[in-house]
Amino acid sequence: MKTFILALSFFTSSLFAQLPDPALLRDKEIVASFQSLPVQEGGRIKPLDTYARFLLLRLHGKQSISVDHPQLPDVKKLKATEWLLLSWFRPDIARDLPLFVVDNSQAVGEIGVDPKSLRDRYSWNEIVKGKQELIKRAQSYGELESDQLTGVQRNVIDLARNFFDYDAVSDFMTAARTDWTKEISAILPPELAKDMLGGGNVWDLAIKLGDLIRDQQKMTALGEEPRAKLLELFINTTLRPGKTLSFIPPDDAKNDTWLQVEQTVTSLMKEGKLPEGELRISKTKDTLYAASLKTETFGPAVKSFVSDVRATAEKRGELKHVDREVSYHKNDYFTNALVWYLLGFLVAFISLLAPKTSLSRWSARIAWISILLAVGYNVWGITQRCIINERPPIATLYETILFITGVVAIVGLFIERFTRQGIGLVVAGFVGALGMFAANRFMALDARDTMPTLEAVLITNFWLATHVTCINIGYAGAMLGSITSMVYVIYRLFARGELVIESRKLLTRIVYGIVCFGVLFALVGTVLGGIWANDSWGRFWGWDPKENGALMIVLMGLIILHARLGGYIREIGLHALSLMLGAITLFSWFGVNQLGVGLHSYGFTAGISLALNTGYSIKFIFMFICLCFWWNERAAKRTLA
Amino acid sequence: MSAKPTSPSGKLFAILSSYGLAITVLSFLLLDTFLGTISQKDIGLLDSQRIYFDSWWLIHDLNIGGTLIPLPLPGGGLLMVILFFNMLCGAVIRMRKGWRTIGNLISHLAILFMLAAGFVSFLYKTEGAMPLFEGQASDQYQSYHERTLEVHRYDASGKGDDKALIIPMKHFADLDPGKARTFFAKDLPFEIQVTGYQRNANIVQAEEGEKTAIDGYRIQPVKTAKEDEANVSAVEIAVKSKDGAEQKAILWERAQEPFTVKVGDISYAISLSRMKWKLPFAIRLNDFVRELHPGTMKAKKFTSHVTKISSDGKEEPKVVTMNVPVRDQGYVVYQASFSEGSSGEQSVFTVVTNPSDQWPLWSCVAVAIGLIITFLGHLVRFLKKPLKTKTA
Repeated sequence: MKTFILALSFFTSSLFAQLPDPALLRDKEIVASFQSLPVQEGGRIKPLDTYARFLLLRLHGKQSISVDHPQLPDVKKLKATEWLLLSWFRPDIARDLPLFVVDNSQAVGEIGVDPKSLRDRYSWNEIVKGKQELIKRAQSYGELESDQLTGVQRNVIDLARNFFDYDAVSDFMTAARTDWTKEISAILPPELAKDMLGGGNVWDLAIKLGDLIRDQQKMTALGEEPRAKLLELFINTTLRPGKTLSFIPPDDAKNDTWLQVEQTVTSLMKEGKLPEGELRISKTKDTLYAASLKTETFGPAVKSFVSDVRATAEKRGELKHVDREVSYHKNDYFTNALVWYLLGFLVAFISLLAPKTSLSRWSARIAWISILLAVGYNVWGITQRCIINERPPIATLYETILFITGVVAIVGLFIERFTRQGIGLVVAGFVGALGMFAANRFMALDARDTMPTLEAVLITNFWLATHVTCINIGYAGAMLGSITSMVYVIYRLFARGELVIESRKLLTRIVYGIVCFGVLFALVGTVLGGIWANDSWGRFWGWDPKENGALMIVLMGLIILHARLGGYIREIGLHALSLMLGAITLFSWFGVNQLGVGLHSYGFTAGISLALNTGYSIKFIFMFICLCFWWNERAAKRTLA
Repeated sequence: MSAKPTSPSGKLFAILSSYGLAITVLSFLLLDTFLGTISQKDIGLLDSQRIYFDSWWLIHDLNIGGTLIPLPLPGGGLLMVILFFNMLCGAVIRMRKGWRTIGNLISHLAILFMLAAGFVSFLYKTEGAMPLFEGQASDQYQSYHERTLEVHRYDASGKGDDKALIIPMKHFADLDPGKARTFFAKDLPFEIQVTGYQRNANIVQAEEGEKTAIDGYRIQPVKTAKEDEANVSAVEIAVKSKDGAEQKAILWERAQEPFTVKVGDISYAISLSRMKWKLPFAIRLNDFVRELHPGTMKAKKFTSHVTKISSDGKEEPKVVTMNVPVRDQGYVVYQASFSEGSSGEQSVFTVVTNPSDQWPLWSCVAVAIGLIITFLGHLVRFLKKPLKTKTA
């Protein structure tokens, strides 16, 4: 028997001495196959690519990771799926990469790790040195109320969560890498070890382990220490890492919950058997590791594994949008839109600086093309999201940014079409670039899938298409009006010449028109929201913060319209109030979510206070300048009188 | 322009119909809405609604660098009444009638109708919860916020004359410790003095010799919860019979049994509870289905399969689910939430009766039509007006 174990050990140790070639993990076909692997997370089926992107975004703050490692020569950057594969198959390298972003370096100082600069990144190997202190501190801070936590304490809690999540992810292939013969022989008596090590893999072992656990006599005879060691080995190699990914479609077509390795292996231990498909996919995942040791076997093995999962998902009708989602992320519509908006804005600005010249005419044409392209990317990206989500365009705060930016840009282009003064182009380009940048920052800050499943009350395409769309067009009108008023203020400050007064009047008429447009949609959208609330909760109006925010926009819009009609405000007054409307829209759009109360809890956000306060401050500075204009105008009139 | 009115009524009408008043009222409404919104973080929705929106006037403590400055403001109720008359006088009676103003007229009339809907709802709407376990039936729903002090009479055989006296919360909610009010009814052989109302309280054992103790217990005030549904109120009563005898008791919403007073053969059960209303039909919960997004604890759909049991015993199956309530005989039954306990799954319905239930919908359609007519007119005029080109 000793000879048997020695022979088995020799065979397996030769296998475990080898490691997969990291270049193989960046092979285009292999990466593409893995990217299209359907997995279930957050209640929906998505490609592994999406899972990898948002995991990396949460841990690292970006969807790609910069690399400077001796074992990865000539590699400067890894995409999310490449990084995930490296973490699975070569954790020895991946754990060296500077992964965990820590906003305040004091947080790592607290756990005894050498701090770097603010918002710097730390590898798993660096953080693991302070692991015990990290556990201790995170536990103690976790007991405090959320509003009592300091920034550093929050950073420690986040770091602990990220560290242990990644720790499990990087162990995803550990069961396949484990030399079970060596490990089991070290724990169990030789007779029992031989009996347990039939197939030399975790799946056969799980069945025998299940039998052993059910046999009370044998378990007692085994003794406490071997029992604890066996459990620890199983948890660390199989159960804990096995919880990280639901990639096994259940054989039961009625069950819509995909399984994790932790669940299939536990079922196998309990029942001694598994449905055929679930066992096949579970086992195939582990064979991928052995295949990865040879270049010629890895590609076919990956292809076969991914095809198997995809075919099962397709049979269940759950594959339909997976490839579209991979393509959606790959095409990065909103970054493309950002680039074209920015280019359009800069070129349109040049056209304003040199009026009546051929440069101005050509710049305007280029700006038109550029902004049209940007709008195309923006709208096409939103359309792709609608198809993937099978719902209207807006259900999350992130989607409001994409939608409002698109509406503002389109209305800006309409204004330009009718006025031909370059103002519409400048505003469309500026707001477009700002909106796409804000969407990008919001996604990075939130670091969660931007296509989440919705709360029960939101699952109604009728109200999402009517109330939510209307109210967001209202927001768009208010924001566009306020930004056009900012253009007015800048224009009034710097522009000189014969045309200045006419252009100012035109800007004023445009803002008035936009405010009318915004009020129409905000008012109808707000009332539609009330009707939805009446259908969902039995009350038309409940003074909920989000409802109040929408009402405030309507009230401010009505104040502007009535003040203008009553002759209380003219040019400067209209722009000052339009700026105020912009500040109120910011409060309604993002500010009320900071309060953390109300029924619209799905919109709560944290960490955007600085950006929001900056937004308010800019609006108030412009309002103050309007006040100065008014004061000057008044003084000039008095002098004339 | 018409001449300035000289008569007092003409002057009043001029003020009531002015743009100045409209702007002032809208500005104060905006301010109240803003303050009422941010205050919800500290005082919760119900108190914020009461202070800022359902009031005639209010005092807001303005916090400037830690110093509180009291700022008197008109309340939401007063502002909406003024706004109603302002719109009626300015946008309906005074406005020139013609094709150019038809859109304005329609939208203002629609908003007046919406305010009227709010007023009718404020006066006549009832709203409450009806929690049901599977297999359980009920024809009652109880208020989320309104409490009542109820006296039920039972004769010697134990049969009850349902309600001998009902005291709504508004008559005793202001009775802090030290303030008392006495209630009586002509067919009741005693009067009830109520004092020491606490919106959220526990009942604890009193220290020995404590003066305020009643039967060895006292009311211990607890910090008011922001969500009023979580508050458990308590009050002290003294039952004074005509012969001068007095019995004191503590009434608590969570008390298992009412406080009982016996006069002759008649028993009187006195309790503090949520206000209850009766439906003209009963609802039996047959099956409650809770769907979650797969692999998560996030709700996807709640559905209750119920049977409506009419007063004549006729049964009719119905389905109540999120966003799709059941409307019947002026009552609307909504799927509100659920709870899970040792007795099984409990579906919680919100039952509402509101005569102006659908008025906002009609109003919304009219507002939209009115505004579209108005703003399209503006747009056409804007586009018709010649624009100066850059090459002026």
